[in-house]
Amino acid sequence: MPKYEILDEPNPSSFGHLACNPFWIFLATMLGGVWLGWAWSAFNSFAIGSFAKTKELVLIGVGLVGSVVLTLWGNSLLTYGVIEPEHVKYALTVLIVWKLLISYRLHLWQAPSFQLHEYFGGRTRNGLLILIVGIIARPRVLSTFDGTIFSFVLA
Amino acid sequence: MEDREFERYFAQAETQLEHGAALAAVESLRNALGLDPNSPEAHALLSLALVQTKRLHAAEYEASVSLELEPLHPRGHIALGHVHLAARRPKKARQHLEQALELDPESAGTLLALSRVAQIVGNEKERKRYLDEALAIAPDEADALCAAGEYHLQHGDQHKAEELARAVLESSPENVDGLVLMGQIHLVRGNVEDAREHALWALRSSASDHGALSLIAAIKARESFVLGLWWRASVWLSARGETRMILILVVAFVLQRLAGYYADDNEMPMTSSIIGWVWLAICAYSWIGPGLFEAQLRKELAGVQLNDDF
Repeated sequence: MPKYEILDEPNPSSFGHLACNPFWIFLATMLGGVWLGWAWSAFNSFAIGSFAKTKELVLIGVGLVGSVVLTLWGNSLLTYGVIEPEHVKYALTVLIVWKLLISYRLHLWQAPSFQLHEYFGGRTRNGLLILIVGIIARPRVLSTFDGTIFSFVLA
Repeated sequence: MEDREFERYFAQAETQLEHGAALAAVESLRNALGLDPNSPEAHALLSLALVQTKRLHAAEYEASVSLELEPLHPRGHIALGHVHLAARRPKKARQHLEQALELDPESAGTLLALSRVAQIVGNEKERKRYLDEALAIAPDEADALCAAGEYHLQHGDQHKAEELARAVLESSPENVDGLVLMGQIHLVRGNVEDAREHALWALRSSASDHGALSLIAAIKARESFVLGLWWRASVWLSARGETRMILILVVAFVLQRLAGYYADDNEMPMTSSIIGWVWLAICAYSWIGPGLFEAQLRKELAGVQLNDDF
């Protein structure tokens, strides 16, 4: 008998068995940086076949573009003396808030798909190991971008 | 032949939904729609079942399909109203529920949903009016009596709330909403054990009932101050809706950051480190809290023995 397909039901890819709880990804973004968190989030979106996949990928793109714009803007304010070097940390809070907003939204979009993936018997992995590796690798990864805006954008 | 099969699945789904078995109803409706994908009634009912399982994105889609197939279908508007209600969009919820009421003025269920909208926007006078209208149409309906009981309980009239809960339980002793209401009354009065007994009794009949699970969670929150704090904070945050919740959390983060920087700049290292540690403790607590709370809840639920009817 034909069965009706409901819109939000996940359509897992061949990487479905590598799906992780988005909670680990959110933690990875906070503790490791967006280079890890957002890349992992995009991969997870494909792995679980998230129903909001397109929205999530667009959001990651918007997040990266926004981070570049904010970094360049902050840099120009510093160059033209609008903000003093000792106040840079206050300005950087804006960039952190932007990344947090994007990451939290990503988490809230991906979490329901992950729950459905689990509900339909999809395999899942514990993300703790990637999180730990990400935290350890963070300084090394970011140091490769030293002196460029990407050391702020991807942090 | 297919028509009869469709009718069977549809009727099965209606019964399952009435008994709070939303997941089973989704499966029945999936079968029904496999046989007739153009049934506005089945799409609307599927939407209502999906709302109960918190799959709001799909629920919104199904309600929209139902209204596309039949724009003046009351159940389609009711379903979309419930989706907006669950997503904390009271304006849109009201719009669809009022339209549903125009199409079917004798629907007590729609009036009860409108009373929920009024509750969300804080218009208690309107909430009461809708509840009275629902009770006038269906004076013996358990849903209406329980909603009215909840209203009275929230307004401090425990006696009236108890009267309504008893009216429900006298006609149907295993009514889940009635048991939950009675449990809430006991909890307000501080009778935690009686409240627990009613919650577990309700769960015997309907293991996934949202009200009964919330009552058990509220009881656990009452028993443990530390976990209760997390529970209350998360209930308060989720009641604000997703966008506001994100904004509140981000504002809290910014405030602690700025306070820390200010303390650093003004040579107050002690204050700065206190702010840092407090924030870290809050983060750790909010990561561990849900797990501990869930573990306690599972322990409690492990003792529930489902009754034969379930």
